Amino acid sequence: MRYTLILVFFILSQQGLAQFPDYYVYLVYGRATYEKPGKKPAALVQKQCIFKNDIIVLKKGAKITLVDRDTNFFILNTPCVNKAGELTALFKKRKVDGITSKYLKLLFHELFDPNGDPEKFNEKNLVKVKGTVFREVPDYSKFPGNKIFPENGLKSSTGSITFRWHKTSPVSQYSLVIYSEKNDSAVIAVKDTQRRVDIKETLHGDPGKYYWTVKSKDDTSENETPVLFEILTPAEERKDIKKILTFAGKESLKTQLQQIDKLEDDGFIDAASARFAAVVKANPDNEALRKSYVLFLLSYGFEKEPASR
Amino acid sequence: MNRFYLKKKRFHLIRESVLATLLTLTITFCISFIPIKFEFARPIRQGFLGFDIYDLFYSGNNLNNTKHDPNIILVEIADDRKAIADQINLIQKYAPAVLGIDAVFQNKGEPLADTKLMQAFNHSNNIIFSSEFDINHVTGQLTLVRSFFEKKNTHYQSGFTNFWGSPVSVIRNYPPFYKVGDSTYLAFTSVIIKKISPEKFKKLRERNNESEIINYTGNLESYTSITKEELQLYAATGQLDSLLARKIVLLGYFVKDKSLVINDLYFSQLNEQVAGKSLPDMYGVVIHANILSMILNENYASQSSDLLAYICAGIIVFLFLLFMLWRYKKAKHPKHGWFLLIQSFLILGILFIFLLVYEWFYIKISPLPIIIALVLSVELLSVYKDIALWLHKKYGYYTVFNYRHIL
Repeated sequence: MRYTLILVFFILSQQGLAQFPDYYVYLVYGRATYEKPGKKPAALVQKQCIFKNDIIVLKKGAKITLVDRDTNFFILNTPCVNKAGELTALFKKRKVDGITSKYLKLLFHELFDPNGDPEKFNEKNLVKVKGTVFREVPDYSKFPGNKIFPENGLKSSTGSITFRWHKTSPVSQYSLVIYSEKNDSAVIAVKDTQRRVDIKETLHGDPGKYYWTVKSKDDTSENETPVLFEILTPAEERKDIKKILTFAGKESLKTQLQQIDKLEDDGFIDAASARFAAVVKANPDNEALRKSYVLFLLSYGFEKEPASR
Repeated sequence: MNRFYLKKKRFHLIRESVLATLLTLTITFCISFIPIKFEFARPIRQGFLGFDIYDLFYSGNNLNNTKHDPNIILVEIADDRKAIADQINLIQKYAPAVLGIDAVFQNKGEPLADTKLMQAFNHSNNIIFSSEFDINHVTGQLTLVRSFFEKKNTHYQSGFTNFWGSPVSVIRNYPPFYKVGDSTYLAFTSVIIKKISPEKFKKLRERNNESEIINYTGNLESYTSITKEELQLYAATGQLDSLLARKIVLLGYFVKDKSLVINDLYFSQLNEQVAGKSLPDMYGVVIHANILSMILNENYASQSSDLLAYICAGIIVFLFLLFMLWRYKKAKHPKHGWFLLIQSFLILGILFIFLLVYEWFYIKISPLPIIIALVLSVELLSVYKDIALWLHKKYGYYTVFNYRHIL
């Protein structure tokens, strides 16, 4: 009887342990989603419990901190699609030697190590550059400087664009410079860090390639590289989007989010934003999705309306 | 008469070993007073005295560290005062237990930014500021450099952030309290502990140590660290509430996920390179976090007294000399090669045992007197031999080196 009770207790405790989540989400940075088997994908949020069959999807630039059952902290920061159960292998601890092993290795290295001769190249004594010092001619288009939006390569059929940049001047007086590849240009004085400009009206512009940059009044630097953006006709935009995306009628939430990512990657930020807003509207109860949308907007500086127009 | 000689013969090895040990320890003790401050001694200081076998205990331990100290959160400090003020206002919304600022605002800056900063400070009484000891270049006096707003009539809580050592030293110790004249100054971490846990502060004070060994937990990865960009994003997504409430938040300079920047960056015992030159590896704010973890968890390491080190040296050298004298008794000219071999193994063995003692009990016994005494013991035995033979000639002193007695 006693053994039976012990066995029952053991089985029950194992069953109970199996109900515990494998990971707890401690922090989420950027856009990450998770998907339970047979359910719709949802944005990963703090305090979320993750079970071994859940699939975690990390977008570019996203980073999540997970805590396992033994309160070990793990950071996942490379874009990936991973089953939570497989993360254990990914987080496999790097073996650190015990004190005896460390001591013996030190003695061996100091007294006998045949590879200790610095004239022999090996992993330990190969002198090489550590850190990152940029010595090439950089691709400035990857470094937008103080400029937030439109980002490099933006494509939009919206003639009216809100230009946003970081504050670089204590007096907040800037010159917003926009010019086209046909050398039409406009210099607009702005007392804010954003300004809505109707491109067609200001530059009498046709669809085509444009550049913009911003300079503060008290700034003498010349190294701000102009950012390229493209104005398309609505027909051109639709055509380009059709080339990128394939529509199969009624898409799942996961597919819709993937489409938004694709649009974003290809510079169709306005289209991605409009689509994201529609998805959020169609899923009013999905709190995580709403937060993801807020993050999306924040990343492009859509946090307030421009004070100056 | 015969009985007297027998007694002398029975114990003369022990007596002679004791005397030779005393001679060795006396010379070792005298050597410890030689000031090694000359330029030519720099390689000795850096290459030998800069090396600490106990660093091996910590070295690389951070690589495997997936445990976080949940009580301490590190936040990267913003670049200008206005932005720092915004950071403080934001952090304070989430009611941390203490907000420690590891930065000294020595001079006044842009008035608007300073005003904003002061406003952020004035709204709260849980902020601990930093100060640092420096040498006044004009007077040559030790002075405490405080932030410009710490005037006489205002009451801000601050502590000094200095560690023991030079800018290229491995940071192994820090002073929790420092007495200058009649005033006792508290370290930055001591002020934080005093604020959040008076009992732990009392225990720290009762240890009465001028210098505490820093028992490192880990590097940046052992703490939840938030960059300035992450702080904004976590605030926007409502993640800071559970992260900062009732925690110790340290606002200081560090670089995460990128190459380290040599600014407020020090050598720690966690450095993977135990001996020789290497790159600094730990930011000042992380060292403060390690000190706080140590005090909060009462995970102190202790330094044994010099007396204990000399007692250990005495016992070990005594046994080694006893062995050598026994060999001299057996043979007129014992092989010195064996002595040197045993001496080397003894030194290596003792270092290992001391390492184990530190791993088990967190007690650091200085190995230097033992190593110096053991190294000198073989040579000093020759000195003792000359003295013993002279004593024998003069006073009939019974010694193993007087071969006529060894029959």
